[in-house]
Amino acid sequence: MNLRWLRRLFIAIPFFWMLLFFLVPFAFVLKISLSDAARARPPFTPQLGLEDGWSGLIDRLRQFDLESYVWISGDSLYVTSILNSLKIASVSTLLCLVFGYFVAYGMVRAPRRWRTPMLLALILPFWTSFLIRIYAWIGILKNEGFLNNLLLGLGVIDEPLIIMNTTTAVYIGIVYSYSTLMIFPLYASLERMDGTLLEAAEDLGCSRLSAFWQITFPLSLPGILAGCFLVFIPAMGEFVIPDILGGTQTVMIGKTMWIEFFSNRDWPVASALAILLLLILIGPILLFQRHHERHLGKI
Amino acid sequence: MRHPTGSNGEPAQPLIRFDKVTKKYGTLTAIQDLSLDIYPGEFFALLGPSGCGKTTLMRMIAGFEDASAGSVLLNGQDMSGVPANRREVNMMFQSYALFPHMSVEKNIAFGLKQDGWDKKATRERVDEMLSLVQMETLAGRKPHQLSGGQRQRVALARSLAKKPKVLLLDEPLGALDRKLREETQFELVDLQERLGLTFVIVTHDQEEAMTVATRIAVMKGGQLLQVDEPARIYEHPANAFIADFVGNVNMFDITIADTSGELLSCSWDNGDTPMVIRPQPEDGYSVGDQAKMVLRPEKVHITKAQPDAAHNINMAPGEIEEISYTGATSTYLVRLNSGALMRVQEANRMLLDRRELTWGDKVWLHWRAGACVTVRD
Amino acid sequence: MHGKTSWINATSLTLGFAFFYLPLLILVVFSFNDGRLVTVWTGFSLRWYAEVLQNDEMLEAAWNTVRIAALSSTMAVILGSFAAITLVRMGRFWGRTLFAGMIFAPLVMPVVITGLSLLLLFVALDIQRGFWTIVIAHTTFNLALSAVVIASRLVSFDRSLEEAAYDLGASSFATFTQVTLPIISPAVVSAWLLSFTYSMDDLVIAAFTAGPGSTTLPMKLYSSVRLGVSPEINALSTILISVVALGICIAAYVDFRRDKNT
Repeated sequence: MNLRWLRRLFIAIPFFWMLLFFLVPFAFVLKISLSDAARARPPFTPQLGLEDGWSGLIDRLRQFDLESYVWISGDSLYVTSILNSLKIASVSTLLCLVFGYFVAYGMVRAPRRWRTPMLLALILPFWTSFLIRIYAWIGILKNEGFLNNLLLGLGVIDEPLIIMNTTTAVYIGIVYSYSTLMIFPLYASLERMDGTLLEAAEDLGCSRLSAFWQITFPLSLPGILAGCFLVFIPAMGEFVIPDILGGTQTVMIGKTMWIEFFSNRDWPVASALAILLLLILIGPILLFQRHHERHLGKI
Repeated sequence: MRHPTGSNGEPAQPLIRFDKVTKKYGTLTAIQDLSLDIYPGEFFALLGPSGCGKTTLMRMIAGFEDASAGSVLLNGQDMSGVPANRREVNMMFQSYALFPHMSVEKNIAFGLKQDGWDKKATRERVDEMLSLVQMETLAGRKPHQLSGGQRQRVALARSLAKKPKVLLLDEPLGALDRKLREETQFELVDLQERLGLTFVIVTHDQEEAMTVATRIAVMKGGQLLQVDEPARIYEHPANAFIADFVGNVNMFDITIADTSGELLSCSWDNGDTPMVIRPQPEDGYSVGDQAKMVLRPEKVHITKAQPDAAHNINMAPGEIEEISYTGATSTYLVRLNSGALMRVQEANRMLLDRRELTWGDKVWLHWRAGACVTVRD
Repeated sequence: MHGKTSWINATSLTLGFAFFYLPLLILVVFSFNDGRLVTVWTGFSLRWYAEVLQNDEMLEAAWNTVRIAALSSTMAVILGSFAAITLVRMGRFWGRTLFAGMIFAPLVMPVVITGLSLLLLFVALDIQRGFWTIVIAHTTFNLALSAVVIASRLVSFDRSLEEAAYDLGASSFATFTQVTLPIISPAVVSAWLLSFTYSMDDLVIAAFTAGPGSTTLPMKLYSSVRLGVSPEINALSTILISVVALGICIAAYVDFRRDKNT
């Protein structure tokens, strides 16, 4: 009897916490996205509540419309920011994959005693404040920054490269901040691989390079997939990096949302953007969860 | 039993030759100046405790290790610098190393694909291999859907698919349970005889080596101790280590007392009764030499009554201290009156309840002069 | 089995780690620069550290952040342990898939969405935004984080250890406190540390859920960073990097000691 209650309590507390503070809020986002903007505080009209009874509720529901969504689809800024986010997130996921694969592979192939120090060395920058990591690149990339000073000093270029406040700077920032999320699952899947498989392939007449493509690469696919999800999903909604490194010309959905919300105080449009972002990401998130359960639960 | 000689009686050309091979890992010497010939058609076993260098030796044939000094020859050709993927030698790995993302068929076809076989030839060869190991019905399965025994057979088929000159087997049956292991040992022997290939097996299990091999090399500390047929290894071990490593054994220090007769006479176990031993031609003992007498437990008889004396029979009285019953046989630990402990093994020809010997019984042990051999050191 | 490090692996490791560390190294070096420009070295000085440590607004924000982080990660670890035990041990129950989804989704959900949705919840419920709303927001995210970290430890937990304890006469409670808890405690500790770090670092969720007077350090940092580079930020960054480095060194040392003992 006692244990059953304990069991229910164990399930109930975190369950209702997440229900209240994670799932239910989405209902409010959806609701606000269907409301009209207003110069008020909070800056939107209908407040959904039961204070007017059911008839009042239905009345209010009639006032809901897709105005924010129509607004979004009609304004090229929003369409551009969604498409741009998709492009930037995809390209930087690919960049992270290529860069991360080299590092993870190098780590697995390094002498065993180096592995723990190298993992710790990866964690240090990763645990360092996100803002600081992005901030560090401003000094390097800006027109009179270290990179330009170095290249000018070496005579490689005649006038400073303009990297800061461009999409290139955003790519650099995303690769710098997120590639660790790619390296960890890649490292885990490569490290788990049985080394004798490569010997067996070689024994059966395979060259080193072809053994990599036929054995190592396919066996690291779960890690590749996990890493891509881990980079792509947050990169899609990234705000800080395009805001600080991307300047005004780089529009991404997360940044546009932030501006709509904090600067323009258009909560319905911000909410509608959040819903759109969520719709884009719900597929990848569900796929990732299934992938995660399949591969982490078993192996 | 096939012998390493050609059809005309001349010694055949060895298929694998280790010529004064030394292998060092840093300061550690894994193989010490070792020479060994393995002939075509042999089922050759490398036997020894873990860390004796047997796996290193096998990996040198496969091409995964290079000799620090000396050379490894395959078919008379020096193999140094030839990588593993260019050698006509295939290996069956201890872990089987089946590619987990490929089906049984794909695993078997893997080596053929590397050699650029066409689709049809590959198909035929894979089918042939599948039927050889009786896995036709499971061709589409992935390795994780197979039992241990099935995986072992796929690994075998994969390593045989390319018709290698030599098949290397690294502890191939270690992961199987005892009964399956024994069956598979016979299957391996059968397969090797049918295909007429040269098999080299690495094992630490002396029974397995004795069962499958036509010749065994016993190794310790990176050196060869004895290379011989299984029966010779068992009955005429070259030294005390081999005698002890291969099978159960009673070993006693002896001092040669008389070499004049047909049989050696020696004193042992501080006892007054001398022991007679039939000498081997190569022994060459003289009076006063120290040696060890090796006597296998199954060659000792145990009786309640004192046996009749004869010039070639040794006998000793004692008391049964321990009996271990293992079904087919029983092993008795007998404390001799002189104080030594002797292990005796008898086949249980009678049912247990008719067995007349029990704990504490006074018994007589006796064995023939020809039943024991001597080793030095 | 894995052989020598080839030149290509050595190159990718060298370049990879240089990429990770050079920006931070430059940042740290120029925090000791005397001049106001952070790209030209003019001499060694600790003046920017002094300025940071005299900046009351900065210190207050830091103190706020530490309190929020400590509170939210403690709550998250307790609730997260419950959630992990529920996920790994309770078998099937009504709504399990939903529950697993709610635990997993916050970890990958873009923070702009999480932040916005929580803000709208607080507005709808008419809750005054401030210190406690940030704590609730961070607890929600950290709960998910802790649950996943602890669950992964529980999955690899050898259940025969608990059975052995029962077999030797321990009660359920004694088994939990004397066998289960000590074994999962490293995971609980790392969950707490991860949560704490996350909470210290979060800008977006905090910005959405903060109210007047509850500014956190990342928010403060963000508004300064938007104004451009300055040596004070370098000094502050260096302090924060040192704290993280120290934490990792201690964790590694503890881990190393434990490995040696077992």
